[in-house]
Amino acid sequence: MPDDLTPIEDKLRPGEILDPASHLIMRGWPVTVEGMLANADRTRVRYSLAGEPFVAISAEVTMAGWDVDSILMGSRLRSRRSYAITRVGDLVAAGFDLAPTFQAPHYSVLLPSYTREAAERLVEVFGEVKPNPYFRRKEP
Amino acid sequence: MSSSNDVTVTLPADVNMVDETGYVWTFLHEAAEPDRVIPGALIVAGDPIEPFLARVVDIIDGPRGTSVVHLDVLGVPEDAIDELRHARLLPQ
Repeated sequence: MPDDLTPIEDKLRPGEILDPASHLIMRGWPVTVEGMLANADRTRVRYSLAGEPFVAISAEVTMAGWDVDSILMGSRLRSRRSYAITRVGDLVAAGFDLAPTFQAPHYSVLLPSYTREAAERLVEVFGEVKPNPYFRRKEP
Repeated sequence: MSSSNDVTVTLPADVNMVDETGYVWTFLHEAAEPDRVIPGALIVAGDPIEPFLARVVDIIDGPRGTSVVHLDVLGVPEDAIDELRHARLLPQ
């Protein structure tokens, strides 16, 4: 285990509790197996969790001050033609843990393993890819 | 507009991936031509299907001798093309 990975524990936001039924988790393109694996690979090369490579992908969660529209029209996601969204509860029920990392509303979705199977399951839970109505629209 | 098969991004990146800086981050070694990726440079990043236009904010040391690049997402390449056409710096 290389000792120069950054512990993700130092990047967690304490005290956040999500309601599995009402909170939504979303991700802009790429929402593909290859995209998930590329994201998870970069993350595990840079960060660790409990001393092991942190295998996770980046997403955003609706919360106070951040609804679906404000996330989609933000400076990063409005560059996405498409996105996918699901309930936090559906993700957890499928075996994926979440961690509140960096600045809200960013969350990390932990993959049980760095495998194509895990990425395929994650893409399946995210479900249908939808067009982003705010694509290329300027922020208000 | 080119098809995605023709597009070559200067730096592969995922617009969802931010760190504590709030900027998108990726690894410099993923660039086919790393010399094009310098602080302040305007580059096309992302993937060939949905590339984005970004400003290179900085390049910092990463783990195991890697370099981490921070990117400020400016929009999509079409935005720059529209503006350059408006300014008549590109043919209409």
